[in-house]
Amino acid sequence: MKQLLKLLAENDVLKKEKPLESKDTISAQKDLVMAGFELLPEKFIALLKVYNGIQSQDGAVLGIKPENDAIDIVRFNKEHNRSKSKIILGYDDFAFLVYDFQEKNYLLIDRGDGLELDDFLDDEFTSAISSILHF
Amino acid sequence: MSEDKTEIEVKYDDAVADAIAQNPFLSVIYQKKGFVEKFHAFDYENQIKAYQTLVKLASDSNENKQSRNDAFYKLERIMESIGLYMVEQQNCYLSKDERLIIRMDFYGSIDRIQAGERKRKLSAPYLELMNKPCRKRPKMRDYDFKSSPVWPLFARFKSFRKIENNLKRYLVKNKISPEILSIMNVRDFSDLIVHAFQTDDSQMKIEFQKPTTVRKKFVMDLAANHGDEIEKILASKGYDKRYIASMLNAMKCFGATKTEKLVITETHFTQRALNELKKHGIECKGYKKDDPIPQELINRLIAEGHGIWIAAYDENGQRLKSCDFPSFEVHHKHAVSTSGDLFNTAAINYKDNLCLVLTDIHTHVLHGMDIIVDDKRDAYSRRTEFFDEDVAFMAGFEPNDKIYISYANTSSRRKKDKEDSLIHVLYDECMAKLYENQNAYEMRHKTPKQSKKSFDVDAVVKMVNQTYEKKPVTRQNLSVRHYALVKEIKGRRQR
Repeated sequence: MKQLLKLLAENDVLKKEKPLESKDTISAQKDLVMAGFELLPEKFIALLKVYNGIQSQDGAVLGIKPENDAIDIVRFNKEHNRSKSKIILGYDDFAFLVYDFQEKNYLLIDRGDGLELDDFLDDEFTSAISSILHF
Repeated sequence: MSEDKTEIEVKYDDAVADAIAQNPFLSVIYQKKGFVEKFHAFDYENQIKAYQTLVKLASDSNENKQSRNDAFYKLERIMESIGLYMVEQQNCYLSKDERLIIRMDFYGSIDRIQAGERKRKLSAPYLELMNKPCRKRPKMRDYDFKSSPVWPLFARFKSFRKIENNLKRYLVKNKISPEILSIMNVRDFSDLIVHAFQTDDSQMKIEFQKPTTVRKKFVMDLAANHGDEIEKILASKGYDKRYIASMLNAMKCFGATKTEKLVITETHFTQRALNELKKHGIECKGYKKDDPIPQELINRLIAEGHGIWIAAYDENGQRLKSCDFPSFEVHHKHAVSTSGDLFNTAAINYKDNLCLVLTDIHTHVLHGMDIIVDDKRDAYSRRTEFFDEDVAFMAGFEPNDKIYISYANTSSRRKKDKEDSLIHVLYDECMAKLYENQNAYEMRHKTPKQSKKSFDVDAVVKMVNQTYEKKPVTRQNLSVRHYALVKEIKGRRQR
């Protein structure tokens, strides 16, 4: 996580949103639970507490009520996600980055037909985020 | 277009009338006739809202069947009027490995597999040979990439053919056994590319396409050759001309498509800009207020990170915020996931298959039906396609909001197609050969048994199931039957 934050801090191409506020974390988690999802993974929340949403030229990491509504995790999942066992955390032109609540891992899923392109264990969070932001 | 050309006067009940008064786009949803004309009469923002609502109604299982069908019908008519149609997901399956290669070719970058668990993606013989240099340095000619079962999957793309010598040089320099090529899987090759192009150990990703990536080149070429048309379209939509000039310049110079980091600059000197430049010691003698700012000066300031000195301000003295203006994204007109039906796989990333579209249109319209994250596999069923395959730019729903370019008939396209088509391989045959080589290597060197996932099990299961429909093969028994069956599979792709 430290390495990821360092790399993100050094990167001046990515657009990074302001840190997430605690009150928004609670209300968004509540919204997600109401919508049938489980709680977001700790590492992801930790990232949002530094950058509440990140955008690159090709993709984005979703945030919780970020300034840019288009990358709001609740809204995005309502539009593109029918599963309750997985949640979309980010996307690029090709794929969604998804967290699987049951397997407790991150998946890169083809936007076209849902094929799993790659999987990342919990301690591979940095690689998972990098795979979608292309930095 | 709709059959109803005349203005339809509609009477709603009070509740609906109230809802429409608050959200005018809802009239498209409630109006039985003339909804297509209504849609086109709205501004872009309301059009997007109406479209999104129809998609939601058409796909929401909580809605009753009649409402879903009505929404679906309207959606189809509106799509038709903007040159789009829905197709059922086709079953021209492409393996995970091939999709990853297409992804690498398109973005021009590869994720670095760092130390730790992620190394599980790499094959054991590859890791062993990479860590066991030969005593004697091999020669470049000792590395025969044609002998690799897997490299042809990469070599179908020009961007990978171009770097073959870089990879050879890395292997020679590090005295890696030439035998390695015969046992490397797709992940191993991507790892080798990372090693060969890595300049700094902290890099998460490496870019191997020089001078630029396939994606960026498409954007740069489009902006360079059709900038005037793009400018005209964006101006017709009322966007600030300084945003248009800055966006186009960012597209031309960097292949940039997003506004998030865009510095919108003045196109003509203002007193504020002249003062700022003077304050920072930039020579601007001879220029006065309202003179056009030379593009070279704009580019120099942006390159040096000083674009802000000539940033654009509105009439209230507020700096123009780039996030208030639209971004663009690159769309694959033919879906990567279904590109198994292409004779030339590399063509999926050719510019005639790419289209630059407004982000909202990309997300909500072209990928509006991508509800693919589902607990049930294969739940996704539809994709949005263009009637006219030459659409290369789309900034709205009206005919004049698009640019059509017939890249497919150019001589350079034909040449590229011819070159890339020379390498024609079938994934399953490559994997069968790789499996054979890896087994032989294991027998010789007694390395740990390979993971069953060193090839794309899903792809093989699917192919085998298609071939042996009456005797479905499961993942569990595949390991036993895999080798013999794969060898029997011929001509996966229907041509």
